[in-house]
Amino acid sequence: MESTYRNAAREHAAKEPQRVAILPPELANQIAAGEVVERPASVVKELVENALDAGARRISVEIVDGGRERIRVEDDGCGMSREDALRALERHATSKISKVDDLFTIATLGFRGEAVPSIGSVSHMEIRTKPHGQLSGTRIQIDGGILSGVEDFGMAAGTTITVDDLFFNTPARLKFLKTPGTEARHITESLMRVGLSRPDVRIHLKKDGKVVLDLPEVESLKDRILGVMGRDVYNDLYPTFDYPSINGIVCRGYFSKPGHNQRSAKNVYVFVNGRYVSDSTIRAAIRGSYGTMLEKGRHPSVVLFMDVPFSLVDVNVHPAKTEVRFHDTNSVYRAVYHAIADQLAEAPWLERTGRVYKLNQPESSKDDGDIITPAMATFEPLDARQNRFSQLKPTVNRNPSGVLSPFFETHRDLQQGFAAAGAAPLSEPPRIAIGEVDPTLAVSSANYFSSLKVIGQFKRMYIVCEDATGMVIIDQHAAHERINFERLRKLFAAEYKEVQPLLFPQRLELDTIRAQTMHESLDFFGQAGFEIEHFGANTFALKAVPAVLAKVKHEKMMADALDDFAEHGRSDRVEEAMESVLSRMACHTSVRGPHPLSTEECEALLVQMDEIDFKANCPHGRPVYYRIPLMELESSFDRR
Amino acid sequence: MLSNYSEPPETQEDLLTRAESMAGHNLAEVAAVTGDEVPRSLRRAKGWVGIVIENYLGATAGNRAVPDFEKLGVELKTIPLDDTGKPRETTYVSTVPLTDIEEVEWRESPVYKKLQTVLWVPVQAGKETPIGERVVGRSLLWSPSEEEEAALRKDWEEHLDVIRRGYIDNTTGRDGEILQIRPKAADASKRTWTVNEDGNSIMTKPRGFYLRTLFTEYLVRRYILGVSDAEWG
Repeated sequence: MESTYRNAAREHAAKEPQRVAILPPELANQIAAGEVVERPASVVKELVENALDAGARRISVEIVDGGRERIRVEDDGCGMSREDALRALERHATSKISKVDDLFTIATLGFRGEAVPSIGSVSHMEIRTKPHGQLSGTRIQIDGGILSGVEDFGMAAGTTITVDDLFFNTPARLKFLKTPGTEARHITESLMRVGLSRPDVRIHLKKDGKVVLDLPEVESLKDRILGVMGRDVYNDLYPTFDYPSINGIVCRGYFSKPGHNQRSAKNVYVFVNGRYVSDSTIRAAIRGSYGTMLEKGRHPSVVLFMDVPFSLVDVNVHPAKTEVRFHDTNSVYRAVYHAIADQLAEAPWLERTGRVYKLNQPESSKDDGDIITPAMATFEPLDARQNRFSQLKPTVNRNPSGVLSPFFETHRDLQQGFAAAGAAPLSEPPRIAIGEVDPTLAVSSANYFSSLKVIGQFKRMYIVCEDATGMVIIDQHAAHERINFERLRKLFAAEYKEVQPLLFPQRLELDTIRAQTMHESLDFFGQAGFEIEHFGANTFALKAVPAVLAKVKHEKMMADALDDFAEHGRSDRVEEAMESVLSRMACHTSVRGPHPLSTEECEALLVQMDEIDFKANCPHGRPVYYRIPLMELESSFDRR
Repeated sequence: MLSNYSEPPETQEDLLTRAESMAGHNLAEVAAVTGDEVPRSLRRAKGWVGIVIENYLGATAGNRAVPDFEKLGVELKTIPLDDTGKPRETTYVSTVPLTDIEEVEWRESPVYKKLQTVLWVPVQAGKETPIGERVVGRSLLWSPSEEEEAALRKDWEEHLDVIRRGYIDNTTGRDGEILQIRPKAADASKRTWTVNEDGNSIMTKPRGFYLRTLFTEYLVRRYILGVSDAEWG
């Protein structure tokens, strides 16, 4: 039979059978290295994790030429005796587990005993190590997996591993490396993850002789977030909701408020039992929790720590260990979802804007220096605007448009005439002293909008209000839309579960996986208002749909939902589709365009805003309000 | 799921269950169960869709002038729908009596009897869709409501009045709100006896009572899709 493609496996099978032989250790290590050591960043990750498992409090990493030429990882951990160091070069030699049961209670980051021999097999590697309390250390040299030298060596306690000429003997792997800049970026990202998981450890990265990352040891996660993610992200983060444990799964951390997002998911950091993971269920739960508040293709900033009982998670999936397997994805989803969504519903950023903040707030959180876990970390609100105003630089004499204005010096005469003769001079607004908190000014997010004083309407589209320390502008359409949306959502959830039969049932010809998932999900779809009948084999007939979804493209929605079920054991597609329809309905029934509102109508709108969830954003995710703090205004007028 | 029913349905519920089992299947699949051959075109196989569905459901009447499901007193009507969901053609009910009609009462009329209980089966009939791929829709077992019967009766009585007065040749398809009269014959040359306005016997084209598409569309919307404000006007 002529084949259109080359089938190497078939060609091999057609040859005379080969003898079965055990691979030489160097070759076995090189094969293992193919999985463990994908690029320089994997080397750094493995060595840094070993350092952490050795109890290091200070880890320095140096790289040259993106890690191709040199990677050096130095730690002050417990070090190794000569005997242990030599044994570590054997494959599957580890101090971290010793029996099968240990695999199910892995608390260390590494456990396979593959990393060191794998790295040694594809580089020139030098290990210098000395345990505490011993007079001299050991220096070991390995070249392409061959031990080429062992000697005593004087050094401080700890371990330093230097990896030179990575992949020198595997040119194919070398060819696939990206530019030094890209490889260095991967290394930095890897260290940022480590940094977030261990604020108690100093992390230092030097690239081609220059320091590019220096994370000093800090006491709290929030300080480490500031160091790793920068102030812009830090300012927009809020602590998650303290949702009770679900099947022993606890999720705590920080999430960004709506409006803060980026094109890539680079600012999503999730740690399961202290280990950085990339998991589709968790990603889906984060996306689901934001719902319409997050534009398509955008990602929030999130730092989450999950405590998952060892019996419910398998970390022994891939040597790189960023993949884990959950035994109960539904509970994982719910834990993440509620931690974020339940707090998003409260719009905690309103509380922050509704009060005066005390600067230089003393730190109160402590940790015991171990891997951060949700139960151990203290998640305090971050002071969003703590230093924002110090960054504002007053600008004077700006007249970018060149328009004549009484506010510019060139028109002193007009300026003098600004206040009408005989009119009372404008009183200076009270200055708010930085460093003081007036408890009477504290406003809970639950009644933030109703606490605002309506000043008036601008362009018949915006309601202008004031709170204790700033001016608040509300988009009346967005506010009304959110109110209508929440009402519709409640109404449809409670009363309007109408079902719309399809005149011609829609055939769903599914692939085997989706068909199997459909069988398992029929109850879910039935409860949501779908009538689905099995037509035999992989074909189903969709006979009725929830009335609110009558005009939705059912085939695509169901295919997406089935894929979600297959992957995560649950799906929000139906709810999302319903919300999309309801949000359109809400939009069409809301005040649109310029529309005059009386003060009473404005106030009524504000009161209604406080009666609903997710009040700070319209159903499409756009913000409902914009706030200009008094201090910012004063800075603009050079009053500060 | 389709089944091969060897016996006629025993009850109306049984009939409806059989009809519902066709919903979503195409005519080729139904024909595969009944053993009917799918024609390439309906031009030379007029009525094939009705026949294959009758066969599947276990209709017994054949060509006899009795309800399709004689024991149940149920007439079967298919509704061919275009791609937009609108009926493509009017629905034939019965022949128009042109003689001996002086004493005919509505409740004795074939129109009333034929429409007493009807199983409506919508079938896709988009011009571009091959016959075998046309899908059978959700069925409706219907008896006219008081309001619907009153509307049918009004049209029928007006038509009968026109015929009695000898003006059958002046009747057009535009007459009648939901029930119209149109020529009905295998070929256009066929003629039958009637009486003209002067009381003389004359030859005229045989005619039939048809339900307008507006009415069958109303039935689909009102009863199958559950559109509560559906009207036939």
